[in-house]
Amino acid sequence: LHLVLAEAGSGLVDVEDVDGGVHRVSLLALEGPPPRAGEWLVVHSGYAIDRVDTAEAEAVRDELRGRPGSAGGSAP
Amino acid sequence: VIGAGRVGPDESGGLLFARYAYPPNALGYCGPDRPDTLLQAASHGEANREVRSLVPRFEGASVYLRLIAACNGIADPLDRRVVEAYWVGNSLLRGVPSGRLPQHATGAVGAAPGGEAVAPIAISRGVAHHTFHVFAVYPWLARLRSGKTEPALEVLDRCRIRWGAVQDIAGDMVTVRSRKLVFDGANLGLGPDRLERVRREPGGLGSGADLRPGDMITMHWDWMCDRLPRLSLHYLRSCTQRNLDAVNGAGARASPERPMSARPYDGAATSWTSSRSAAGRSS
Repeated sequence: LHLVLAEAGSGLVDVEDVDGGVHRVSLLALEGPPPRAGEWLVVHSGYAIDRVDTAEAEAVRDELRGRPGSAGGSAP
Repeated sequence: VIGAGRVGPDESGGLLFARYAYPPNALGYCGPDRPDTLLQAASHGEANREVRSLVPRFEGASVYLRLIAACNGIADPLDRRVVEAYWVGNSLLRGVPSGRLPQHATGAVGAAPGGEAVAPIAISRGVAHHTFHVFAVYPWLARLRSGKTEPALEVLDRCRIRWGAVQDIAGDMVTVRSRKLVFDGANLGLGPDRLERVRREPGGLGSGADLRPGDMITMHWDWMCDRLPRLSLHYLRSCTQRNLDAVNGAGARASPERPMSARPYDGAATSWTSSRSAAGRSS
C-alpha cells in the first residue's frame, strides 16, 4: 500500500510506503490514467498494480502502523 | 546447521527466512528497508533477533508463517520447519487445510486493499506455500489472461522460488540451468530448460560457500538463496506444480510429484546437505 508523492517521468511515480520509505515504481501494469499525488496504490515487485480508495487505504495504513514490528508499532 | 555453520538450532529459522526474503527486500519490493540486516543474517548467521522483529513487516509471508505454525501446533512462526515449509515446502503443509487459505490469503491481501478475489478453485486446491501467494493472490495471472504479458510473466517467474542446477561459478555470479515459467494464453506451466545467471552472497559466504557445478540450488529474483537437498527439491517441485494446477483449474490432474506424504514432518531440514546432480539438469 503506497501513497503517490509525485510523477517521476517515463511511466514512473515516486511513492511512500506505510513505514515512510520512498520508492520509485513503474506504471506499466496499472490500468487507466496515471495516478496523481495523493492517490493510493497497491504495489508489487516495483509495479503499481491497482488503485485504492483513500478512506480504505488510510484505515489499512493505520492498522498496519499499529502492528508489532511496524515503524509506528509498540513492539521492539 | 546451514551455511557457514555458525547457526544454532534456535536461530536457524530466522536465518533461513533472511536468505529467501533478502532478494526482494534488497530490490525494495517487500518488507522494511533493511536488506543489510537480512544479508548479515544470511551470510554470517548474525542478528537473528533483528530478523525476528522484521518478519511481521513482510505482510504476505508472515500470514502464511502464522498459518502453517498454528495448523501444526508449533508455537513459533519462525521455527525453521515452518519457514522451510513456506519458502521451499515440506510435510508440514499437509497439516494446513486448503480451506484455511481464503481467510488467510484474504488477510494478506487485506493489507493491500483493492486486490482481486482469489479464485475459489485455487483456494480449494492450493497449498500454503509461497507459490500460492505468487500465483493465486497477486493479480499477475489475471493480467496475463487479459493479454498483458509484460511485466506479468517475468514478475511471476522471478518472484516464485525457482530451483536449478549449478553449471558454472565465476566470482559472485552463478550460472544455473533452470526451467522458465511459460504461459500458453490460458495456463501457466514450466517450460524447457534455460540458462540464467544469479548472484550469490559476496565472497562465497553462507549458502554460497563451497558451491560446485551440479549442486541444486534455490533462487529468488536474481539471487541464489540456498542449496537444495533431494527431498527439498521434491517438495519445491511438488508445491510449485500443485499451485500451478490450482490456478490453472487442473488440480485433479495426476502428477508423479504430488506432494505431502502422510508422514509427520520428515526432517528435510536435518538433511541440509549438498545434492549434486551428475547430469546437472534442473529437473
